[in-house]
Amino acid sequence: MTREDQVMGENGGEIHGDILEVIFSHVPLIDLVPASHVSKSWGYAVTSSLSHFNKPKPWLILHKQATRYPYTTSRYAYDPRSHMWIKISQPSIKYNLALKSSNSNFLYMLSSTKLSFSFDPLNISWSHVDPPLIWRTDPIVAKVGDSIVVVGGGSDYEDDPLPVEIYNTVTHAWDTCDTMPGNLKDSAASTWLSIATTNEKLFITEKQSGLTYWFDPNTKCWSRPNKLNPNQHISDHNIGTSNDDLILVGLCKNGENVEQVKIWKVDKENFQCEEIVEMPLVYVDKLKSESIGISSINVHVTGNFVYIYNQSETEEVVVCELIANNDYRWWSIQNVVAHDEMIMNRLVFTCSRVGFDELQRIMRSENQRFEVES
Amino acid sequence: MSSSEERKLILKSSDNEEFVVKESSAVQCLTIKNLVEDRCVSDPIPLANVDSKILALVIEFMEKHAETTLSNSEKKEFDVEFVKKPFDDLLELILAANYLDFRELMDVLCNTCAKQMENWSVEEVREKFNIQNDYTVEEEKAARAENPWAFE
Repeated sequence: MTREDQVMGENGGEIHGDILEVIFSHVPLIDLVPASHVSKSWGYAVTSSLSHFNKPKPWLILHKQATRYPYTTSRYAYDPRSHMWIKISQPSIKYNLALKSSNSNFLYMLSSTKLSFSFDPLNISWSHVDPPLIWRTDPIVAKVGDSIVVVGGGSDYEDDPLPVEIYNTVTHAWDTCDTMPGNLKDSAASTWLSIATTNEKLFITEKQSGLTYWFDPNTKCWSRPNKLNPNQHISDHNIGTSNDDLILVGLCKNGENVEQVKIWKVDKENFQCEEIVEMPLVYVDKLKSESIGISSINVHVTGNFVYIYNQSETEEVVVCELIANNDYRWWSIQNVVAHDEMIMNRLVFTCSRVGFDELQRIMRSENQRFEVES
Repeated sequence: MSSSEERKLILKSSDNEEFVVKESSAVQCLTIKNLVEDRCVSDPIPLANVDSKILALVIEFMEKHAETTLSNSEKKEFDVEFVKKPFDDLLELILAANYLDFRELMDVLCNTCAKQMENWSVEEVREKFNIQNDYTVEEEKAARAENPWAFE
């Protein structure tokens, strides 16, 4: 910590330079926006502090939507940079249909008459387009580069796996192509699959078996089948992309039949798995439900963060942050939405990189308000 | 090892007041720790940037946090009471903690400062921090027009 920027005037000093930036590292991102308007030098100090002392980190966002009309939705975000929950004001559009997300910060609503989707950091702007040709329940819907890919899902009328349909956000046109591989047919619904996206590909893993394919919407090709096989029996496979890496978060048991959660890095070409880190047992315990332990986990990965929770009991969320090479920090947070609020509500989780400039723009022009939840 | 063998240091404030402290407490300040380790300790140690009022408070915090018999939650309770001071004092304490490189004190103070800032308008922040507004008249107008809620 340098002292070069400290000035002691007659009445004590004006706080600036490094010290001011250290103070800012303790100020929540949402409060740094008004702080940046205090003066020009404070504006520079906010930017500098965000670069050097405490960078913005991906938010875990909860969308709590009532299951009955008028489908009132409240939104909460956990900001790991300041370890706090924030209540976000009303969404920018009415959510008249079931809100869903297959991964990342991509939100969508699908009906027989339209597909609505959003992929900006706080889901302010929405597109509404014609739905895919073939109706299906519970498909995977994900954004890969300029394409919105609709894969799988079930149908009362078709026994065969359903074709993949791709909506091109540039040409605004739908296209159909080869169906998803037959091996995934029985688990085509999104509940049995875990996905990850890069700019070029959609990766799909069957949670139970670890059977994995990728799909390239530009070439419309599927990969051959791959088995994620990290030398250990995994009962629940979950994938995600951390920066540009494909990672696997798996539920498994050790030699003494004790549940473990581990993270592997997966090679995108040959699908070889390399173990990175294991969740400390104290956090595995937090994920266990009283009655049945953990049967399945859900995972959200963005940037250096992995958020993990028990699919059937969302009260505790375990957070893992990659700090530097091979250095991981683990902690757990309590869900701001309590268990009893879950009756008559559905909870959709997304994970989003909310940057300072984006936040400033949103607070200024979109009239969105953010309040710290105490 | 009896306590009479505990090494002591003398710290001298900018207004020439001297304070005796245990070396084991004082080394929480990395600035002092470095002096001790490099065997550059003069007697007393002059702290040109910290006056006696603030130094006394720093020492109070320092000694509380060095007490091994206190639990973490007891220390936290102390911290909560410790920061209930006029904002100007907090700012001076921050400058002192920075000068002394006293990480724990710095964290507690910055956190408090940050929490207080959450509820202030831009005007209040400017007043409490004694900030020179370096916007031109037009820039000020534009900032207020674009972000009226921040200025309320």
